[in-house]
Amino acid sequence: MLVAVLAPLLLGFAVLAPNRIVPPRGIAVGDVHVWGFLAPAALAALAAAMLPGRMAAIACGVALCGLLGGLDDVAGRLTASLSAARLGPAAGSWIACGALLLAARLALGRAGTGAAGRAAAAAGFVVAIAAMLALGLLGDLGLVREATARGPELRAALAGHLELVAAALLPALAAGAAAGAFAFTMRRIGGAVMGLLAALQVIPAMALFALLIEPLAALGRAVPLLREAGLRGIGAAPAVIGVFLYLLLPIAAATRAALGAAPAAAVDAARGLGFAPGQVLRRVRLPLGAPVFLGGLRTATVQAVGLVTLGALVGAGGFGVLMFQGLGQFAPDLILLGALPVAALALVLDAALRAVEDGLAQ
Amino acid sequence: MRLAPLLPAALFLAALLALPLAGPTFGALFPDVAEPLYRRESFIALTLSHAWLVLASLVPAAVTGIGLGVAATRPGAREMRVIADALVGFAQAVPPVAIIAIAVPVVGFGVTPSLIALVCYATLPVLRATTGALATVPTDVLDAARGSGMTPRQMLFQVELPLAAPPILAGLRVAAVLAVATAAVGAVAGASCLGTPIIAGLVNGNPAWVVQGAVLTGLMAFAVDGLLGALVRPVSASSP
Amino acid sequence: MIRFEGVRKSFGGATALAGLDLVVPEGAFAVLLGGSGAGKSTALRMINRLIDPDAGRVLLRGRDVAAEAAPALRRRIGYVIQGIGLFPHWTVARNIGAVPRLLGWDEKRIAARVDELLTLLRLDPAAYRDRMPAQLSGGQAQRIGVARALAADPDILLMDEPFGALDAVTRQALQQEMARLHAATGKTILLVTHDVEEALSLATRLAVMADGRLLQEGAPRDLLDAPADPRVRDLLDGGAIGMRRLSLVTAASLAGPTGEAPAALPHIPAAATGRDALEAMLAARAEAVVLLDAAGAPAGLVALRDLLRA
Repeated sequence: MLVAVLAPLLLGFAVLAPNRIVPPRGIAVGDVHVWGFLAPAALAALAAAMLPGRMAAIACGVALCGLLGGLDDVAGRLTASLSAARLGPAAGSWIACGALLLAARLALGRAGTGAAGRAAAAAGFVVAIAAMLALGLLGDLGLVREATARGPELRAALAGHLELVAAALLPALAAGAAAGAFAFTMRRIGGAVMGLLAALQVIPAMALFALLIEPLAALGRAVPLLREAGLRGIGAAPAVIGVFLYLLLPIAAATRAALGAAPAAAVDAARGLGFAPGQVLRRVRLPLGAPVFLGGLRTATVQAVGLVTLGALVGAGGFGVLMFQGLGQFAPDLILLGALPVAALALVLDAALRAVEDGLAQ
Repeated sequence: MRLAPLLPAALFLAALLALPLAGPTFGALFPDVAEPLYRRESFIALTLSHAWLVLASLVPAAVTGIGLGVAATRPGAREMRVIADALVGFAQAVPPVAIIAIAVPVVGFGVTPSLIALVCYATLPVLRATTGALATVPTDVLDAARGSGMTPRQMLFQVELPLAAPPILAGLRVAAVLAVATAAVGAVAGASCLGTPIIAGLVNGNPAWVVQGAVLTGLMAFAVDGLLGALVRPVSASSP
Repeated sequence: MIRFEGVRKSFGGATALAGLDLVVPEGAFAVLLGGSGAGKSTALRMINRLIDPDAGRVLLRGRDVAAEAAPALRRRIGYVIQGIGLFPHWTVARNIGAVPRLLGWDEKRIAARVDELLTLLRLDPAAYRDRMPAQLSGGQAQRIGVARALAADPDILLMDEPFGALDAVTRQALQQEMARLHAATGKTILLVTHDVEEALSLATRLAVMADGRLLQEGAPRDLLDAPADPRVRDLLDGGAIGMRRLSLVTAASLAGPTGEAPAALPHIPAAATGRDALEAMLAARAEAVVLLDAAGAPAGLVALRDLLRA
């Protein structure tokens, strides 16, 4: 916890960029007087080290809110008159944020909190941040300013991202499940198919997307009808097809494992009791394999969210667009506006599917 | 059979040497492109810096991954296990691009953000493989080792790690392949590597460069996978 | 000599040992008998400090085991477990040589010891030395497990349900092997089991435990004849107390002179038990058996009514 207190002091508190062109300058804790926020935050952080389990997690959350509030206070004072100015956390504050989040997670782990409890804690934290936003306590942070300014773009990115994920995931679900079922019944050829899908995983995503551009462009040129339907070299097509190909392996592997998840003795007993093959499948194999399959679906979904981000490079939409724009313009807030929602989306989908899995397993 | 793992590596080398001579071919394939061959940097230099990125991240990743994995599986190290679980869970959800992108505002453009992301992402498969492999060492074997009077250190080095070696090496192989892919993405943050022609090609509307970079990156991944696969197999075969 | 003095241990809320006092004399083949949860494995594992007591002491030849570093202590004590736990990445020879290697013996001495032990356990050194554990049957693997425990010539051997996972035939062969080894080496052996037959056939001293306490300790025959606790009687009785009593005596101790024995009587070796004698009579529908000594000469006669003296 000392890390969380010392890092902002030693490694810089905030970074102020008057506008896009002037290089940003660092701001130390001593330069600004925001003790009203930071002193309680530091106290909470130190207290977290001494408090037991859940209390420590709450203390970490309080410290984090205090840190953000302090940053916002500084931002409000330093950038009030400059609409183009952006203030963000410096390395020290970033490290403090990371340390506080990790400490909170550890405290929950120490208290023996399960997945549901962790989700509740995360939700509580999100509510706290939302409340601060609603009260205007974070409105002057560079990231929040950027988000407010780009509201419509942000919504479009979310919609685009989800659309691309669905466009790749749903066909992959059908094809992957078919491939997995095939691999389960026809072990020999199925093994070769799985080997092929595994080899696909070795190709770096960026290379695969890039390699798909030209063939798709050529296809679009050759068949105007397809081009009318939106198939072009640059755009969503290479990303969706690429992601689809990557998702085949986790889904097929999970399907195969799910079908084989029922203990041989249970299948044998079902047969001996006179279950028809279809009944063995429906009443024994599928119920016992469902959690395994869902695990594969979760892996595939999380992968899809991440891979789609990279699709922005070849012209697909989604949060990747904001991220790469930000990288192109060296606009840290814009980068974060693309990257943080991707991380959040992946974590939320992961937690949601995990909850379904836990529900099924019971 | 022994030569099969070397095939992708040979293919990669052949492509690397042949590509500088393939200007006319690409000119014919992409007639609209003014400069069909990427010449800003030699492919060999790009390959070397790509390989350097991979190696520079793989070594610390292996050390931290195995170290953390061992620490997390020691009795009484519940704390470490929670940290390891949290790290793995978090990083599985967050894509490497996002880490590279988030690192840029903090450490600036260049090789550093890629190295940060690479070390993070290469550590995870090793860490997961290490904790998984150490957890599968049979409890009877551990009981017998302790009962024979082995010290914890002797148990680790003489029993646990040798038994866990094949899965750990497989984890290293996954990490290496992942590192090749992540290093390529590093091009967007300004790292010089085989991803650079892809990005340059996309930015300048030059599909020939995109293909050149993509082919080399893909082949390099297969080469690394094949070579490490050859390393992994003999080890697992020696302990039936 | 092993002595437990008021030893207590609980895991979480569950009490494994609730004040155990027990003495195992030097050179005994002592068997700890009890159902699951009786605390017998916990007691055994305290001797080589795989578990430390919450209260009380465990003394080895008068010295508290806690006074010695656990690894050094364990290297002086042989340890055999139900799961066998051979190191799967080492050959048979390397497995047997594990403790000698920890003790820093030179390679030549280790190799000689490995061959000596393989021979002792009736496995051909040339054929088994270089095998991997995965290439052994369950019975062979446990023989190697016993050899490994004996490698550094410990004077105490701890065995935790060592034959529990083996089939009946292999189990019986290994039990006989252990009885022979005990007679030949004179080592103190402490074996934990829940199998009454196994306990009665191996023990020179039998300790019956339940609920973390010692119920009774003594010669197996005394426990059979005078159980101090109803639970001891229930455990040992099993509806076969007469047969068990018979199996504890040698046929020779019940025999009378051969006299004018009819030639048609069945024969058994003189070392056989009273139970074997009964079995032979029932099988041949005869009223007596003739005992033969090692040379095959008649050494006595056991009649059906002689068995009542058992």
